[in-house]
Amino acid sequence: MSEEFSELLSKLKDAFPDSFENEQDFEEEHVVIDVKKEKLRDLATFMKHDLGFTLDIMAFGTDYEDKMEMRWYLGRPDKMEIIILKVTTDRENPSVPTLSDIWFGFNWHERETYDLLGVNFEGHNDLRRIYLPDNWEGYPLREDYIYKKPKYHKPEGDRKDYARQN
Amino acid sequence: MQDKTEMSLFMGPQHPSMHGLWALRLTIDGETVLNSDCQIGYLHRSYEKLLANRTYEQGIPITDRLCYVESHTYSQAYAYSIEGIYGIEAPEKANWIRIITLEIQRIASHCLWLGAMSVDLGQLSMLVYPMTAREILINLLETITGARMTYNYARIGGVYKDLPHQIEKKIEDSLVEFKRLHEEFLDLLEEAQIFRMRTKGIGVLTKEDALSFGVTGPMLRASGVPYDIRKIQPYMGYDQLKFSVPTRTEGDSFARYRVRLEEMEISMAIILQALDKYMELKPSDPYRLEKIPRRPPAGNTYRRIEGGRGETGYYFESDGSTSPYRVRIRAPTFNNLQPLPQLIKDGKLADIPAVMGSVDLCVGDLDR
Repeated sequence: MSEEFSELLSKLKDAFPDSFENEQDFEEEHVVIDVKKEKLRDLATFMKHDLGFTLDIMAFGTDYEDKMEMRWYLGRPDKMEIIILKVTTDRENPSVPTLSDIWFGFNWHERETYDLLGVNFEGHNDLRRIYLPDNWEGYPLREDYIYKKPKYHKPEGDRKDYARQN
Repeated sequence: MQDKTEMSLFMGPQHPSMHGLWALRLTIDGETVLNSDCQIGYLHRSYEKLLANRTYEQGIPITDRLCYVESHTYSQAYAYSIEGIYGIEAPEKANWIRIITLEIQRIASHCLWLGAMSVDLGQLSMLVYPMTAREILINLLETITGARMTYNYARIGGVYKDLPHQIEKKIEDSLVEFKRLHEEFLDLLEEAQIFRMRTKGIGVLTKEDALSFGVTGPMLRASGVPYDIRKIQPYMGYDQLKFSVPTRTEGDSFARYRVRLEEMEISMAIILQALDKYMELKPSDPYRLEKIPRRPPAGNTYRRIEGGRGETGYYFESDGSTSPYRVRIRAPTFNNLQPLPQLIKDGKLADIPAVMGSVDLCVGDLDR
């Protein structure tokens, strides 16, 4: 980790003293910050405007047995280090604040997470399904998802009879 | 003067300028675009779940199908990311082979983009020239990997096989031939008045917006940000090569076209440098690690490389078993398409192909 980056991290810790659950190294140049849900938006705004993290790389969620995690990847246009903001939420009603109005690029990433994992983003201006049809039931990337054939794909009558007739 | 009349238009997946299966729902007033909404997902194959249900090695041929224009970049990024989670490094020879194939693939991808974009703008003869040039590079990749489109050449800890005997002669000859065609592109397009009129000042993406939308690759560099992962986080030995990063400040369709054309030239220089480094090594040097354990240690990693469209990366979360627990693909097109509604807003309907062509779409990687 470069000196400049560790200075930046201590600056972040000073500005938000009690916002972190904990912090862990991931690879050398990627740092995961486990943020409390209430402080996420303040921290993100500070990171964009004061620390220069203007580039958004990606955002996605992961489903575990007892919880759900949401990660936002943030970078700078001239440096290689990445800061990952991580928020943990419960599995029954997953809900986290949105960052799509601070970095516009997270808009589709958050829609995708909503589509495949069912995470609700508070304050998102356009939370619709992005890949799947609007009438799709369930969230396919969840660990307990069971695929059911959509109704409109089902042919009428017995398929074998239909093949014999034609 | 008449009142404003709004009309809704579905520029659907069968439209010839859509470059694959996706749709644009437009609200127009006469010829002016008032509002638009991208509809994607026609090609969604749930790659992240597919990869999580397979072992690490089984993912390589699948990631080749992720993007049909530059399949090698995606499988190479996959293998390179898995090395991160295993904590291993590929041998030096493998890295030079990787750089050579990746750069050939980048030029081939840009050639296909150039043909498609020119056709969108009515330069029908410009379809043939880039395709001829691409053929040279595809033949080169066929000699190296044995396939023309989905190569299946990347391996965890190296590449599938060494470069064939006397390949250096063939690469050099092919690049000389390509260089001649590359100059023809410039003559044909740069001097074409219609092409300049239709691309200059169209679809301007400012630096701040480009960063905020997470746009990467040639599109971001055309907006004035020299963001190139080969430079800011050198991988596979790119730090030992000398090359520059072309940038433009205008941020319009023409700037994006120019950046890609300059990138082709720079990639040619990189191939020759990497070839020199490769030739310094002995033929008996390893091009692949011999033994890779089936189960990587638990943990997670995100590694990225610079693809033809931008930052291409994979996130892996391993629980210590033979297959990953969670895979996330960082697809450049997914971010690059997001500013499109903003770029075409208040423009004319006929400008949409000019903007869309310059984005360099690949729906395979957009929908994953």
